[in-house]
Amino acid sequence: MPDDRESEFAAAVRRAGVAIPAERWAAMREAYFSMQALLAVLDDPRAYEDEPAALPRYAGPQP
Amino acid sequence: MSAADMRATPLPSLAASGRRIASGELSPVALAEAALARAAALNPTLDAFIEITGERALAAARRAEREIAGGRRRGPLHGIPYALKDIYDAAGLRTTAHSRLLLDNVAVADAATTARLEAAGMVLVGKLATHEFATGGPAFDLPFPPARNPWNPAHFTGGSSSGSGAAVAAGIVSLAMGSDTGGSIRLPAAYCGTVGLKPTYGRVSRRGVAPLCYSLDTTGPLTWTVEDCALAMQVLAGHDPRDPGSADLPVPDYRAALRDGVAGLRIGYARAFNADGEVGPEQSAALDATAQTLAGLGAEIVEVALPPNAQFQACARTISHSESFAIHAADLRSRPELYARVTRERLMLGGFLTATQYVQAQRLRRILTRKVDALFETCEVLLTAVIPGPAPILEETDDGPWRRQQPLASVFNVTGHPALAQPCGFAGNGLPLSAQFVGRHFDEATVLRVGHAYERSAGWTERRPALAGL
Repeated sequence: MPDDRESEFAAAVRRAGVAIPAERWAAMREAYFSMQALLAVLDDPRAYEDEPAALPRYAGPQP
Repeated sequence: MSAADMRATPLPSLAASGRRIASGELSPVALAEAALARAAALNPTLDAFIEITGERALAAARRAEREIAGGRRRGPLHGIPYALKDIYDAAGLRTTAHSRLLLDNVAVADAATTARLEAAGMVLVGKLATHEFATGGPAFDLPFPPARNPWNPAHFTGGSSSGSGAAVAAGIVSLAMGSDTGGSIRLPAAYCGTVGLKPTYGRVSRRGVAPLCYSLDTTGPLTWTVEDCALAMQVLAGHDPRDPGSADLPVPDYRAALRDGVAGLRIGYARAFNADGEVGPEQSAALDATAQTLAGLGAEIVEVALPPNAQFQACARTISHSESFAIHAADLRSRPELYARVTRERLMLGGFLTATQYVQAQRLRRILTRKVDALFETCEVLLTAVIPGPAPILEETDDGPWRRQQPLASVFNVTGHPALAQPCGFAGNGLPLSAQFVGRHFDEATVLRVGHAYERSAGWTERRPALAGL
């Protein structure tokens, strides 16, 4: 595992504030990079007007 | 019919039970006793139930019997047993979410959906197994074992509404409630050979149901027949001002729509999605045959193309992992050992995502929803795969932190459209295969109409699992 990938994963774990046991570290690191590979499509170019789906709705007073 | 005979027979459909109760031919107490006896006989094999609520069920059945005898029948579901995935609150009962973290969590009020089913006079017979917090996967390091598939207990039920699929397929109840964030109603329905409806996001209240992902969570029914699904939806659907995601829209007569058939309907078959979703040959052939059956009933079948599955998966996984981590972050940081290993690791992945990724996924979500909506400009309903093939062996399910095969079902969690899974054949090993019908937002009625017409023509509901222990 190159140092930059190892340090990227270690930083992600620190930011999340979770603890990963030593015996599960490699499996979680592999999962992290598999997830990032799937998510690469999120970086495809978007138009400015492509707003997020989850916007608040102001349909009236909330109880 | 003797108690042994009743135990040996799957509970009748909701529709049939309702008719027989109304005519006085069937007693709600006898029906509850049959459900409880069948649960007691089968649960040691299937592990469908976390808790069987015998005394409560019999008291409710006796009350129903008195009311009906007194001319106060509440409707077609009065006096009929049902069960709840153990993430639904029922006042006075534990809601454990199949987790060590909630072993002492006794609900003080009913979930909105529980309250609707109780008001309809239904009889709660128990709380059902789930994947922990409706996520993770089947796990053997929890206080309760994972549910097993009635068609072959060595096989996976699908999840996360695992006990719901098992209990309905085993004929213990004819209605079980599930929840669906990425396929958790439709996957167990598909693997267990039942009907399962993920309603449109916002159609059925989520209040009082343990959340997994606020912007994707839906609640809905698993049943043996499509008609029963329509009967359940008639009770479940409707606005709940105390659920922030609830839609304030009229509820149609779902059962009446079933009479209309499919002649003249245009159904878009997303055939290329089979290859994109790595669907196996038996399941693909069953979907082709489903399309042919519908064409034979007078529907017009056209092939349509969904956007690439990878886009849906990136979107669904980013949103689901981010929101579920937000919900569980405090416990994951302070007492992670209480979760099953697979739950803990899959939930933790959400903590590695960035705010930018979450926003980009929500932008992609709107684009994908628009593209699927465009397909409905020329079709009333879509036909798609929901599983790649029959249920895998339970002990061989993927229990790693990152699922190698991405679920096909989450496509319509991303877009919010209503989606119905129902049997469309059997694999060579005797396990069920499934088709998915998808409709326009809030048009569950047309989805159920297509499902009902197909079900009556195909006849798959006549085949039931052969169960040992009865």
